[in-house]
Amino acid sequence: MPRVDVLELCGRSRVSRADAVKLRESIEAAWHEPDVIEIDFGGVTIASVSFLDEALGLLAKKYPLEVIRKRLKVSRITEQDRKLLNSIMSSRARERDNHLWSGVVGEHTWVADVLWDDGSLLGLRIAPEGSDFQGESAWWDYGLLDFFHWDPAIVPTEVLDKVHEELVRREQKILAQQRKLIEKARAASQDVAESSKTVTLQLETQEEVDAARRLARTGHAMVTGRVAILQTELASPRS
Amino acid sequence: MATTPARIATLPDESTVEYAERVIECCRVLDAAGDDVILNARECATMDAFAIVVLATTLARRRLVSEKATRLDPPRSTDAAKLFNRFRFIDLVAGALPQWEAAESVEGRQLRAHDTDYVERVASAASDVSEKDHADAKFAVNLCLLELLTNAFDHSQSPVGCFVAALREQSDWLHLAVADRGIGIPEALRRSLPPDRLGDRTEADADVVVKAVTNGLTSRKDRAGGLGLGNVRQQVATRGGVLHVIAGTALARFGPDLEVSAITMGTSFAGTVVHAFFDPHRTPVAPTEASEVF
Repeated sequence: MPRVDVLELCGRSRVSRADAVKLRESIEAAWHEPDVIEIDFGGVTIASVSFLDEALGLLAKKYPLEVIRKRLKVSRITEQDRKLLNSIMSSRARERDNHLWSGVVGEHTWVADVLWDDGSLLGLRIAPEGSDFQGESAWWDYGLLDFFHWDPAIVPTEVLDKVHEELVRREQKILAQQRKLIEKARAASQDVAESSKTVTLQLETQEEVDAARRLARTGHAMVTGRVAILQTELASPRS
Repeated sequence: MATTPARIATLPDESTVEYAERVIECCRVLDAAGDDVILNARECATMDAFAIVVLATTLARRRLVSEKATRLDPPRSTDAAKLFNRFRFIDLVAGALPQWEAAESVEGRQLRAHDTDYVERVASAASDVSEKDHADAKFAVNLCLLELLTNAFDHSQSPVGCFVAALREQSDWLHLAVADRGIGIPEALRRSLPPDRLGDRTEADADVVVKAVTNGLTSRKDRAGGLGLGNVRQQVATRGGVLHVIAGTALARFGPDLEVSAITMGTSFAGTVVHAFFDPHRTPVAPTEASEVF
């Protein structure tokens, strides 16, 4: 199993971004090897958001969390650092999930990010790449693909067309995931019409969780049996 | 020949973060003053870590940038005089580097680069109280200090490094403050905007600072970073504490229960000050749920 020793790589310094970059590069160098990559923290407290974000958080912007879970294992990490690291990974994963589309139109590279709430689209931000401010002009209310309010003086029509295409594609993917989830529920139960039957599903991916939450929020309109969404958290990773 | 009277910069009686604007105004007068200026601390009765670091950076900057001396009219109050002595303001005023001695409840230092050993010591001292379990408390203080120092050294371009002060109250609540005299959070973020977003450069400092903490904005072009201040706020606020961030004209307060308030001061601070007031031993309320990746 490829092993990355944090102390050996970074010494006792745990704040240097350069060291964090080295750590991430070591991980990415071993990424495509067949074995799980072990990251050994040596029992030393890190307590640095910047270090952990640079070293590992950026991986969550690149790869889905379920892939990271399968590829990486951490060892000898303190409980406080483990919680901090999970919090950072979740934040970055949300950013990754929020990225919808980017492309060059005219003189600028445009980036579109979405704001989701448990699988429902709340808002859409389209802005030139590198803009960190989320000014009011860049956000639009967007409800269920029915209503779209935009200012053509700010965003070229070509950009909006591409973003819309991507949104439709994404919506179709979510709907497909919901159908799969319902089939999974049906398969797990002999008779979903029995009111006393409780079906417990092991949700494996963040997409399944989002689909389940969406179903719960929309009153499970596509559900023909009585399938109650009781809990929509990912199960703890299997050891 | 008539001489120009010395300018007077007056420290308020309550020189604490709750009266930040008055302390900042005193520092602004020191920044702007010519050769002859008097720091009038006669009426100062109370000081906290915020006032200590802000004043220390101002005096250090004054000496470094312009080699201007400052005369000191020391506090009459015993408590304030003790703090002035403890933090060697007489040396600072004279332009000498202060040797701040660690003590049971008081700690301070001028730093010019990351010093993880120092951070470790401060975190240990702040958290190792009686028989209380201090691992989580030490972690919280460690994290706050490391993030604030990272911001000061990676983003601020401060010519005097930064000043750190930690004061522990009898109740174990901790005042932790870090100040630098760099470009300040609002300017650092504005400089990261592309040229065609000039409109956003007019956004008020207060709004920029709030976004920096709550929205995870970063001046880094590679889109890494931006989580530090938000995490500091979380460590403080979930323990019932209060975080103040002052930069430019912005005075922002982040309290428990997601309270946020921000005003535009009538004065301005050239740099950034962050002051955290919290009990590191308190169990965080409603910790954020995160997907368990590891």
